[in-house]
Amino acid sequence: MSRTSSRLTTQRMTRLALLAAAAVVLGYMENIISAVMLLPPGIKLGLANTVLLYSVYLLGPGYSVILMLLKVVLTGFMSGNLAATFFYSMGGGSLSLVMMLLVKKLGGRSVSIVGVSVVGAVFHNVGQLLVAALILHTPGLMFYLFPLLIAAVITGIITGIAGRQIVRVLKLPGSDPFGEKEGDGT
Amino acid sequence: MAEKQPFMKKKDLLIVAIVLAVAALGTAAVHFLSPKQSTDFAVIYVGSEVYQIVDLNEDQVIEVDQGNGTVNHVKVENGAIDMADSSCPDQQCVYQGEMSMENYEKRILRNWIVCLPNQVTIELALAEE
Repeated sequence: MSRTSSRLTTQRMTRLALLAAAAVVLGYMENIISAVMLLPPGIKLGLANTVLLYSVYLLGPGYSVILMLLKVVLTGFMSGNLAATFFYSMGGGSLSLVMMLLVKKLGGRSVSIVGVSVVGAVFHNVGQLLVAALILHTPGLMFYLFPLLIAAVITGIITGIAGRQIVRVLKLPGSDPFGEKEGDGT
Repeated sequence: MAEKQPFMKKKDLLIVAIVLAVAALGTAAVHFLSPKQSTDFAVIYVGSEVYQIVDLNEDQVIEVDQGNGTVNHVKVENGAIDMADSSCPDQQCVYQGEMSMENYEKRILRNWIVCLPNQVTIELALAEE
């Protein structure tokens, strides 16, 4: 862990920049997809979260926090409404990332990337809804958490499976992000 | 080795089960605990302030102009209220469709229409029996 996240080498910095770009573009595309599909507010696939999953599994907590912040700030600048967008994505992004890191650490090998992804999706929605309720002073809106939770389970599983494939394909040679080498070994 | 890994592990399933249980309990609680009595009113909020209280029996179009290029039009017709148009980028509020005392329990946002970017919300007023 310490070796993967302590030094900012050029290679890691480049990787971070690429990932941030990918996350922003995926998030942007996803907004278009959600609008075209007429999905209810706040419900989206969370494609950008596959990038964060990659970083949680391959780059460690430090890089993941930087990546999340980059994504939030860049997305804010791209939208016409910097302040509002910033707070919503900050609320969702930070809570989601903290919970993903926590579950991955506490769960150890009995939680897979799919479980971590579901936790990320769930707390992304929780965070955004909390920010919305705070900004609008409408605690009455919190009921919307429950439909959002059901959506988060579905989208979290889908992005988790996508994230697993991405991590598998893009992992560094010799690294072992899923802890597969020791233990069951199948 | 990688291919043999199960699609979800035990604790993944536990996480999913907990989330679904919370969602089911919450949905049931909302269904049973929320006020059932209809009123004839909806409240338009801008941010946390009440902007206008609207009589649903009166067909009308209300302009919510916040003076900085942020404009929403709320339409009331035949007892139903909806966001007719909005200056926001995502138009989510417009897609949320019309809301009335008859249909709100079937809407995913129940008795609310929400425009997050413009911070304009419409709440269908409900009363305790």
